[in-house]
Amino acid sequence: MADLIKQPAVSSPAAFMQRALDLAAATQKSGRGNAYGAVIVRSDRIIGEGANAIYAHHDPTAHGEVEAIKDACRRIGDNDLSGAVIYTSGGAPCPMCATACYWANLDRIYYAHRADDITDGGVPEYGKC
Amino acid sequence: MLNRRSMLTGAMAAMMTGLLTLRNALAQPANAHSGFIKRAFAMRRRAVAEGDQAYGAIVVKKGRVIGLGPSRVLTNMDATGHAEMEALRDAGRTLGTHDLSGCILYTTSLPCRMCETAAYWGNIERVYTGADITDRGKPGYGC
Ligand SMILES: [Zn+2]
Ligand SMILES: [Zn+2]
Repeated sequence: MADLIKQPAVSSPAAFMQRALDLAAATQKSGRGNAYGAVIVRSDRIIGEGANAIYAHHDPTAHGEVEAIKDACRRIGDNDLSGAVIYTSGGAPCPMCATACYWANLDRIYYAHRADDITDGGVPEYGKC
Repeated sequence: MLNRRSMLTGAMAAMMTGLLTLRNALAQPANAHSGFIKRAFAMRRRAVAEGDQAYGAIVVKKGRVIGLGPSRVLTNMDATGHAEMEALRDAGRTLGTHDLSGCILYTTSLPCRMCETAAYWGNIERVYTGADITDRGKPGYGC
């Protein structure tokens, strides 16, 4: 995605989460992936967005969160996303995505099934077995 | 007479070859694993040569290398570009599917939690790590 990211009219957690939910609906509708989407936000701006694309890319790692992190890294030109947070659709991220958030140095994980009911998933951790 | 004898000899030789092939297939000779782990270490050397972190991985299906993964965290500026992730992505591109059932992942180090779970999502059958080719079994969800 080299195109410019469309920013919400009003920056708010609900607006960012709504964008993640919209990405989720779109990727499922197109058949590119399962219904998961995510955005990376820093300083009240979306700096990366992604949707599940396991079918489109033939890529088992292409969950919404991983795609959003890759997109943000690419646009910023840095593998370090310190100071940014992730808004992701659905439940808590799977261990692959949660650990990807940890490696990207994201500050916080937020997830939700509805934009007006966001769960604070806390600071990404490496996690335990 | 000579002809029949040579035919018999030929049949026996073919049978022996068949048996040897079968034995090799069942035994999964150690040198097959060592050849593949060497390819993973070649990916590690490539990553280092290109200025990336010292990790390498490959994906193998039915004795054929179908995915190459030098670490690309720094060179691609991708926090998720661990060697195992890159090898899984490459294998998916080669096969044209996200389902890597029946595939084996060889990696130079113990996979992190992200990569272990990625191998799980890819339905990887077995993971082997390091120069001593440790059998890590089937990848788990989070471990
Ligand atoms: Zn995930
Ligand atoms: Zn890893």
